[in-house]
Order: sequence, then C-alpha cells, then structure tokens
Amino acid sequence: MIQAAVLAIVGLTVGIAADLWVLGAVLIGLALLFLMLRWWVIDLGYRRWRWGLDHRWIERRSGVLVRKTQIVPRSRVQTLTTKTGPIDRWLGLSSIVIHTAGTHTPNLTIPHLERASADRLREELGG
Amino acid sequence: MSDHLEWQRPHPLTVVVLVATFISGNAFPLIAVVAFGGGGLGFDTIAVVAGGATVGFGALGWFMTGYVITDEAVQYRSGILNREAKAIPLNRIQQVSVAEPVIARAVGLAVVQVSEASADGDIEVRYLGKSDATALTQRLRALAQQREASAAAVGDVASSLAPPPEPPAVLLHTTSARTLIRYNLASTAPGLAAVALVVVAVVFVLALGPGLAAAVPALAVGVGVLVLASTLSTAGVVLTNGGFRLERSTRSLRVEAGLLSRRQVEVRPERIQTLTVSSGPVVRRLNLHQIAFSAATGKASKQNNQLVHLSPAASTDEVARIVQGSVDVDPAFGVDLEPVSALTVRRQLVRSAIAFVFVIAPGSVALWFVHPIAAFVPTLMWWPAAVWYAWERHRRLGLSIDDRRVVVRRGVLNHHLTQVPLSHVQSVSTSASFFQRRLGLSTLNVSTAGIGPGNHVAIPDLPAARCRGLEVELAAAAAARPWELRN
Repeated sequence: MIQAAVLAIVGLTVGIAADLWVLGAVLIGLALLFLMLRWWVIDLGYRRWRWGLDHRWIERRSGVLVRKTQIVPRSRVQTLTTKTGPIDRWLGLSSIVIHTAGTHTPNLTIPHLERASADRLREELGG
Repeated sequence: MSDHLEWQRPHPLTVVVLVATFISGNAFPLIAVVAFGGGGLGFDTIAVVAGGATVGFGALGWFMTGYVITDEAVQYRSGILNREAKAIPLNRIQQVSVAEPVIARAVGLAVVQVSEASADGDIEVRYLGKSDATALTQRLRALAQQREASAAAVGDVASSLAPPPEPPAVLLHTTSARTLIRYNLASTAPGLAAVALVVVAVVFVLALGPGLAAAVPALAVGVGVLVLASTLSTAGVVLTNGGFRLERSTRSLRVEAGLLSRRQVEVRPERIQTLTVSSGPVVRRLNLHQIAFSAATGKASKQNNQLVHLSPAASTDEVARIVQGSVDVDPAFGVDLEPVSALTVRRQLVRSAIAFVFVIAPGSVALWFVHPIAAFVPTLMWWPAAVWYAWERHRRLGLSIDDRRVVVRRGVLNHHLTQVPLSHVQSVSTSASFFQRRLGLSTLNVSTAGIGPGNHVAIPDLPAARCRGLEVELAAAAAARPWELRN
C-alpha cells in the first residue's frame, strides 16, 4: 500500500510540477497495477490458508507457490503468544503464535483471527 | 545487585581476559592508530585514553556481572548499559559445558555454559577459575538431576535422599592427532581436487592463449594456494579437536576436545535429539566416519550444536560400539529404507539444466573467444556428472519409520545417516515448491528441540500422498509420546 501510494504521489508530482503528464500517467498506472497484483497475491494467500485443531494437534496449511503444511502435537506446545498490532486492533483481530521448544523451523503462527476466536483458541490450547 | 540473593562475581582476572580479548579483536584498528599517530594527538595520549577506557570497561563489566543458584533456577546478570538477566529452571537444564578459550586458558580461567532448549536461553558464566568452574558444573549437574529425580518420584522417600555416588566413567573413544590429520586430509580432498581442477583448467586456457610464460606462474600460484589451504585447514582441525575424548558415566555423556581452546561438554544421553553418522567420499575409503550427537541447545548451537563435532572411528564396527555405548541405540546401518520417488531424478536434472543455462553456458561462450575447443570442455564434463549425480542422489535418499525412531539417509558425495527418536519430535511439516507440485512431490521436515542444523532433518521428493501420510503418522506418534521437558 505504502509503495503504491508513494509511486502514485511521485506520478502526480511529475505530472503537475514538471508537466510530464505521460510519465506521470505511466507511474500512476504502475501504482494501480502494483496494487491489483498485491491484492491478487494476498487474496490467493488467504484462499490457501487453513488451520485446524483436534484433540491431538494443531495443523496449518498455507502457501501460493510453495505449499506448506505444519503439524504441532498439543503435547509439544511450550508457550502461546497473542500479538495485536494497531491495524489488527482497529479491525478487531489478533494473531496467535504457538511456540515449541526452540525448533529449527519457525513457530506456528495463526495470523489475524477474530478476537473471540483467538481467545477461544488460547483458552483451548492453554487449558 | 541489591536483592536478597547472594550473587557471586566472576574471577577478578576476568578483567585481564576482557581487555586481552578486546585488544585481540581490534588489532587492526589499534595498529592503524599507532602507525598513523591518531591524527596528531600523539601515541602516548591515545594509548593512555584507549588503555584506560578498555581497562575501565573491563573492570565495570566484571563488577556488573553476577550469577546465583537458587532452589529453583540458575540466574545470571550482566551488561553495563544494556543490563541482561537470565534464569534457567534447574529441571530445564539440557546441557552444562565448560569451555576454555585460549586467552582465558592462558590465565587459568574457563567459561561455564548452561543450555536449555529455547532459542535464546543459554547462560554463559564468564570467567571462573578452573576449580570454581568444575565445582559449579558439578553442582549444577547434581542439582538438575536431583530436581528431575524428585519431580519423577513425588512422594517417594528415596527421592529426598542424595543420589548414590557415581561409578567411574567409561572411556568410549579417543582420537589421535594422526587420525585427525588423516581424517581432515581425506575430508578436504574432494574440495581441494575441485580447486586443483579449476587451476588445471586456468593453466590450460592460459597455455592455449597467452602461452607458457603466463601458464607457469599461474600453476605455481595455484599449487601454493592448495598447499597453504590444506596446511591451515589441517592445523585448525588438530587445534580444535586435538585430545578428543568421549566418556560415558551412568548419567551422562562427556566430551573433551581442543589443544589451544579446550572445551568440555556434558549432556544426559536421553537429551540427545538426533544422531548422525557421516562420511565423505575419500574418508570412506579410509574406513573413517564422523558421529554427531545433536543436543537440545539454544545459542550454544552456534558453538557446540553438535555435542560430538568430530569423532572419526576406525571402522563401521567401531561406530556401532561408540553409538551403542553412548546413547544405547544401534547406528541403523542395516535398516531397510523406503526410497523416494524416482521423479526426483527429473527434478534434479531440471536444476542442473538451470545451473547450465546460467553458469556453464555463459562460461563456455567466454571460453569460445580463448579457444573453440576449450568451449566444449565444461559442457562435456557437466552433463555426465549431472546425470550421475541425479541418479546417485535418488539411490541414496531413503527413510524408515518404526515404533521408536525415524531414520533418514541422504547425501551423494558426503553420506549422512540420521536418526530421530519419535519421543523427541517437536513438529512435522511438509513443503512443495511449484515444480515439486507439478511432479506430485513433497518434502517432509522433522524438527526436534534446539535450533541448530543438526536438530532438523528433511527428506525431499516423496510422493505427495505418501508424504502427507508420513506427516500424520509421525505427528500421531509424537503426540502419543510425552516429551520429558514438559513437566
């Protein structure tokens, strides 16, 4: 978003201040294209994203080009972290990070859950 | 340190080690300052200011450092401006080791390293007198064992008693300097051979182009570099791993190694997360192997991830004896392994083709301008090697899962046989790249506790459905087994 906005502002500035409207239009067009591509990639990533929990483990599936699945048995969960950034707070979302004992692979993160779902998951795993 | 705990300070000679470490780590800037006179300030002024500041910071660093052992945990505080405090609960201690870096060793000091299984949980008490370091290490090990024993048998009267005296440790393996030299020369031989090949190619091209007057000096430089690299590498291995000893007591596995910087690592056998037996192409001809035991450590993994970094053994039988004596398992040499998909050959050939397009082909075009014949040499060498490598990689890759462990075999030139007890599996994952998906393949990743490369094993190019089945099977097996640290 920020990169596209910067590109659009540069395009407008070039068009108005330097009177180079063709270059300005190209830059604004690039910014729009960039936004559309980014939206498409985020949408694809969201469609591919799945997570689940049963009595044995937590499972995550994700990835657009490289597809990944990860399973963490409940008995291996060491700590749970809830992260809420400013945009997440504004939208009423939270991310849950599930840590195992210092593994080589990254910890299992379930991003941008609705606050109530995040609380339920935390209670379920913490209990 | 104003709380009620009785904080201990490191040995006062720590100041000397800190100052000497600073000087050795900043030798080049210091020499530059002395050589150029420090911009007109004069050597005396600079020496006094820099020396005073270094000693001052060293002394303050020593003064602000402290450690204490409570009933529950070992705690450590350090830092002058950025204060850092760490605590490791006694029942979470994975490994206690003693290191003697060369500067500390010169003044009779050592570092005690306490590791737990988190990414940043290690405590390093630097620096203590050798006797204090040994005493602290023994006390921590005894306390950790006592805590575990009492946690395992709550209510048991015997658990409140002191543990019985330990019988003397059994020496499992020593490595002589001669074996280390043989091992290192053999393990570096393929790399040196590759460099020698490049030297020969360069000399050949120079002889065809500018002539012998340019080729002979190039040959001399190449040979000199090879001899120097081989000598330095061998000296490094002998200094790092000289005097290698592996011992097993009833409770722990102990390793000592190093001629200049001596290190002593001790870990309980059941805390070993993975075990890998490796051998290089030339090393195998000498019937030598390397055994690596990876413990669940955090930051320590950068230095001591593999508890036994190098333990060349005389023969396959010797490896079996050492592994059995160390961690009570067999090295899995005779296990029947399930092959990965034959499509892995195609995937590897595509990788080779990509490397050919981006590296070999441009190189060949450049060589065309030197001599047309030289341009065909890389291509003629590349493709037979690529086909052999792809086929051999498929032949070598394999895995086996039984009710106790996962065994993975991999490596074309360097052979690796890794086993992971199911009870130590932390998480299981699969991944499939775009090209893998087109071929219906996936990679299976198994992670244990600890963040080093030895704590993670991957087996690529399994059929996707089989990979998913193995992922679920492994996760179910791990979920059914309690992990001992979760108490």
